[in-house]
Amino acid sequence: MIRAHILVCAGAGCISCGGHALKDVLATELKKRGLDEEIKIVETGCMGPCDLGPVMLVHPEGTFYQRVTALEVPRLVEEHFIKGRLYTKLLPKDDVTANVVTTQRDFSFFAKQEKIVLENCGLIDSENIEEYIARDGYAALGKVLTSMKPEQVIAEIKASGLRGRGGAGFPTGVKWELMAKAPVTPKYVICNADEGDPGAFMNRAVLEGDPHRVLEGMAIGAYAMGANRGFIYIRAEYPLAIKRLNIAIAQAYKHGLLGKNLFDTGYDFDIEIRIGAGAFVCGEETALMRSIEGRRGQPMPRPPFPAQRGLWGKPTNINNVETWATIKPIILKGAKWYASFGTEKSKGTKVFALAGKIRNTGLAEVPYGTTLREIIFGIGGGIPKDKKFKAVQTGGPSGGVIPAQHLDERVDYESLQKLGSIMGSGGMVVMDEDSCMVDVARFFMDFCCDESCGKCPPCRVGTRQMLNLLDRICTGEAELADIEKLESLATVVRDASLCGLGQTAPNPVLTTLRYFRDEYLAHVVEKRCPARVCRELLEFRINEETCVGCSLCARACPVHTIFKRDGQKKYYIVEDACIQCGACFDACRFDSVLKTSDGMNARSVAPAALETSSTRATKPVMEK
Amino acid sequence: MNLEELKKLKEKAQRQVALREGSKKYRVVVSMGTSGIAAGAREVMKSMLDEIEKRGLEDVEVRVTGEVGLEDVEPVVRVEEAGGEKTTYAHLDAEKAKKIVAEHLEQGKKVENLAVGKEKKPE
Amino acid sequence: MIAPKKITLTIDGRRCEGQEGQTILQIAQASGISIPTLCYLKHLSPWGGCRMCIVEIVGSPKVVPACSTPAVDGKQVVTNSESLQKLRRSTLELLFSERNHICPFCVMNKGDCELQQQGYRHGIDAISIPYLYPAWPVDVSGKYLALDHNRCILCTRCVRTCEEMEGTHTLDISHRGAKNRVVVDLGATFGTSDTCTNCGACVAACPTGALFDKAAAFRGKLNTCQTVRTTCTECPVGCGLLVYTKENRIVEVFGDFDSPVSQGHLCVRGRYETWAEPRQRILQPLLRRHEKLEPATWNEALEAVRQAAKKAKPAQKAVLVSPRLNNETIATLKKFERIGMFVARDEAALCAEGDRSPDSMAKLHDADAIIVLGAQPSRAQGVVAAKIRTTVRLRKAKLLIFHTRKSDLDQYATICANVVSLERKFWGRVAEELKDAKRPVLVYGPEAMTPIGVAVLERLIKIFEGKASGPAPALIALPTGSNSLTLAAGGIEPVEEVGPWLDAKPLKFLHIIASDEPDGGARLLDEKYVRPLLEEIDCVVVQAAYQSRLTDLAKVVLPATIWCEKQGTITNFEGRELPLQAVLPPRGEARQDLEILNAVLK
Repeated sequence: MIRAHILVCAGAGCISCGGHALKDVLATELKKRGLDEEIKIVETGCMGPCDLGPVMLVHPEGTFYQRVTALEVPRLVEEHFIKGRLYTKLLPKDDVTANVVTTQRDFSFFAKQEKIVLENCGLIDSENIEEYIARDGYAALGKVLTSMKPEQVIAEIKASGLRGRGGAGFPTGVKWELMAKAPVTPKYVICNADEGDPGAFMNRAVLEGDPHRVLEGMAIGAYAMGANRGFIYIRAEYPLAIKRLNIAIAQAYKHGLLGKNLFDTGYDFDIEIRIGAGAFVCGEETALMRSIEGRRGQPMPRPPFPAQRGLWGKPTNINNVETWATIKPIILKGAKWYASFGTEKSKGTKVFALAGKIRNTGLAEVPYGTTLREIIFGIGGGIPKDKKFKAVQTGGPSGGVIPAQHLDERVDYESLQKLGSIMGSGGMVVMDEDSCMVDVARFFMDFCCDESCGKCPPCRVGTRQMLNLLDRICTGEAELADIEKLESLATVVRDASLCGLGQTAPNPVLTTLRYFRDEYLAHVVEKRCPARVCRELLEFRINEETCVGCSLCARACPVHTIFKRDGQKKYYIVEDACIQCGACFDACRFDSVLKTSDGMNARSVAPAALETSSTRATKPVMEK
Repeated sequence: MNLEELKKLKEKAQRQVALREGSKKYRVVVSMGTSGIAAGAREVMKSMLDEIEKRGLEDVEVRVTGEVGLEDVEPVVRVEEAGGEKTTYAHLDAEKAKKIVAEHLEQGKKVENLAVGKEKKPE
Repeated sequence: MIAPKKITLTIDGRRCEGQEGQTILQIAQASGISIPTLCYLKHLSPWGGCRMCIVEIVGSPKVVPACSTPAVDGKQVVTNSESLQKLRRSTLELLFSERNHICPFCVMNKGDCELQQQGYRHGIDAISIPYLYPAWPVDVSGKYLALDHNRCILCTRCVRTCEEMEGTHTLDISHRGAKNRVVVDLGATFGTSDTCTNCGACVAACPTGALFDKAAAFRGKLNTCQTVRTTCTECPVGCGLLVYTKENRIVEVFGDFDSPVSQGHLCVRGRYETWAEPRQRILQPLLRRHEKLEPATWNEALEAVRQAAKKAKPAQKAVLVSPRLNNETIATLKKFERIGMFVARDEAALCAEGDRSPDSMAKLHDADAIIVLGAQPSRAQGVVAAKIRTTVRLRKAKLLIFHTRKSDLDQYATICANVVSLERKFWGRVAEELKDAKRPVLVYGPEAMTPIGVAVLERLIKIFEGKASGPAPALIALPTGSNSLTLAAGGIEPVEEVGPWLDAKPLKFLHIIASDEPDGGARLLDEKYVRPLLEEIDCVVVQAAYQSRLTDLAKVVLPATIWCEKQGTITNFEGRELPLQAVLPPRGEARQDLEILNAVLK
């Protein structure tokens, strides 16, 4: 008999820090100890707390172990499985309660979440359809096909208040209804798994951890809308998700849960995988469809909407992975149950990907209406190294930046929009006091500029011009007029662009201008970067009081501009030759290299000069 | 596949993952402290695991624990019932362990002659 | 069919009526409201990329492109608000700043450039954002086409034209964002492209000076030229030409979008070869004196011809004509006792018996199955090939090809068979493919008239007869000569082999009318067989526009007009009578074919 299950996280995060090796080492160790017949190892999808990886969960006790390296395995097996004691060394410490956590349920990161989409992630073997079936898998499809009419399914989804999880938040039931009403056949359904936002990985987690749930959701939706063919459009950068999807599809066909005559009802449904080639814009539904058709992935104006003219000119429904993954519980537990979560206009739960300067990086599923503070501090554990929270960027590269004063805002579609940001796919990049908001805006603008498909001039040229302006600000070459220019360009790009990429690309700029205008002014007027990030505006000096003369800085300097004082064990930087690369700052172990950005103040220039265009002349011209 | 087949498959599959769902009728806790292992607790446990499997018992989970403070009567096994009743068996060996499985875990009859004490359900 | 529903819009406060399915732009244009456009072209699918035609729909938060947005009954549309003006101006500024749009150095300067026109229209006199000054290459490797990326605004009109009109999809956009550029094939140049047919439709579509005709560059601004519509006589399709001339010179030739046959499309022959190729024109009559061809006056030349004709008995006189001759010449030609029309191999039967199907081009456009038997449209009738390509590629028709020579159409065919090696069971597959055809078209060329071609044709007809339902295919004969079907129908005997025809009855006088055949009629001159026969004839008169080996052995050479100087009509392969309109006066002393013929017969 198997007395224990070890669930080893095989999400991409844990795999990349040794999850696969962990499984092999565990297997060897158990065998060596003669435990291999009593203890089973299961590889699951992402459990959520990715920065604690590799993580594993031991059942029946529910003990959660973090950072399980191969070296720790023999001790762990000895302690936990032979001697029956907790191996405390690898138990996580709760950042919120500061207690050592003995079971998964006690860990704030998990305890405060409401897992609906992720209910199976980290609990089942995603490559084994039976484990999914054991957790009510395909029961919803069976129920729908054998006892519900398509209209009833749509009514149920409408009643649940589910809104599309891809970003725009269009009511899913209404979208399905539009498509169901289209008189043309054939119809298609598409799962949009082209998750391209940097820092967003909730779709990947679902596809890697619970792929059948997506297939089931698609089959239900296709039945409700009268489609018999579905496509999953997934980015090539997700090889593991593709592999597991392929396995899942093959298993579903083998068990007769995809293909012809499902549940003996005569309903047929086929799913194909289409792999994207790494263009961000292909997450936009019209571009995605063109890409599936084998054409260049560029968006088309809507209307006509995909429900009217989609793939190959036929009615098509596109939903995000997370949306499809929500269908099964709604059908099984009812619209009322689902609508009991969330706020008035945003029902249910949302998976957020926490990234950036936050203790618990990873995935958190919470009901809509949870405050930003609860997500970032309650679940995410706050900012590491006791730094100050500065802002959170929601909704991916085209989302906006939300400052600390709005931390108690309840997160839903409307509230984020009011703050100038968007829900997007649910990415949350947390920034602390060391983040320069102009640099952040430049980073995201660089991304959007690079990913602009180039179809419409506002986005193609506008993002490039905005990036150039931001570059000028970050390097201290900008004038006050450039901020106005930036602002007016941003509105043009927002209002005139064809698709969501261009329309939202200025969001980081617009929100940072709205909440952190002083930082822009500091860059432009005072030529300093308050967060000490923008390289061209930094000065490096050595505090000779504390310098121990170890020479690490001088050896790190790529331009050999750090010298030893004659006869002293002290070093100094020749500022004129310094390229502000920061190598000395990183190299020093005694905090003796000082990084400052005092800009004009340091050079004691009369304030009157600030407003004139001669500002630039007072600053030594920096080579890029 | 039809609904009936899906249901059957689900029942079969649930057995495989039941361990992760918690709450079983019986929880067998084997004391695996140093003294327990020295006295043969592992053999006792293995024999119980084999027997449980042989008899196809599903509502049982087996855990191990450290010292329980009964060093001189090891190997010790505690059977905890969902209702809260706990029975501790001591001085076990492989054969006795099989008996516990056969009588207590399968038929629900305590093996009185092996039990060392009974903890009543807390009020 | 149900008539489309009438709808009413309010555009800029005016009530405008249209039909359901029309776009806002179509209704606005029909109502005389001008909305600026750049990437829009009437005959191409809407793209919605340039953001010039953006309009506001009252009640909708975002602006929408008028060119692609279907009009909805009862909506109010604003096309010219302050904020729209600002967005358009800003978009134009961004476009101007993007590449090197330096007007004085552009072939399209002063009025031909649509970007420049939009600049004027929106009052752009300075640009508030920095120029990006990219360094883009210029591709002048093509024979006729040139591509200057510096002038490109990435409207993709060329890309869509290439896909939707020519069907080759030679052009597309590569890279992303600011690095976008138009590419030929997969990064080739026009000079090295495998797929480009040099149809030149992309140049016609380009709103700026990015794509231009090498031959036309800097010849003159099109908006200062005279334009004349005429008909191409290079093949029996009869495409409409729009010829731009200035000071009695051709500046550029474009397809005529009003043409009922070609709807603006042309192939390389009509678009370029007729005017951008160096050819040696004959500009005055030549008379053989002292074994040498010497210039002569028309009177001398005509007199010499009449004298020679008088010497021969009627049975010893013959006229041999090119299949390009106008309908008007038929009656006059008949005054000769022997009249031959020299045609290509296997074409005699095709000219004599070929089927004409009214509105063939429209049928090809709407076909759901196209069978090409023994024809080579991509060599000889480029516009038909383009129509087949687009019908197959865009409208998903089936294509079945039976032939003996490979062509670029083969790659789009569901069945492509060499007629020489057909197996029995193969016909099952053909029948299977044609099973559901509701609008089948059979295009056949000269090879269909060979015994094996006829066998295939019979098989195909049997398949269609064997079908329980569905119509018989529209039959379209596709000869190579532009007017050969009409001339043959008019009683002029098509002659494939000139040798035996000459041999049949010895001649003393032969008048060859090569007209503006590009080779001057040299193709009928078989060195071993025909030349000795011609040399035996007392008087060979060659009436041609271009010099050739044939004119070299003539006794009298009479200068003929070329396509752009001709007047009259021809009847195309659909049976449609099309006008030839003289674009230029005859060059040198050239005269119309009919005029010369009448003078000779006087």
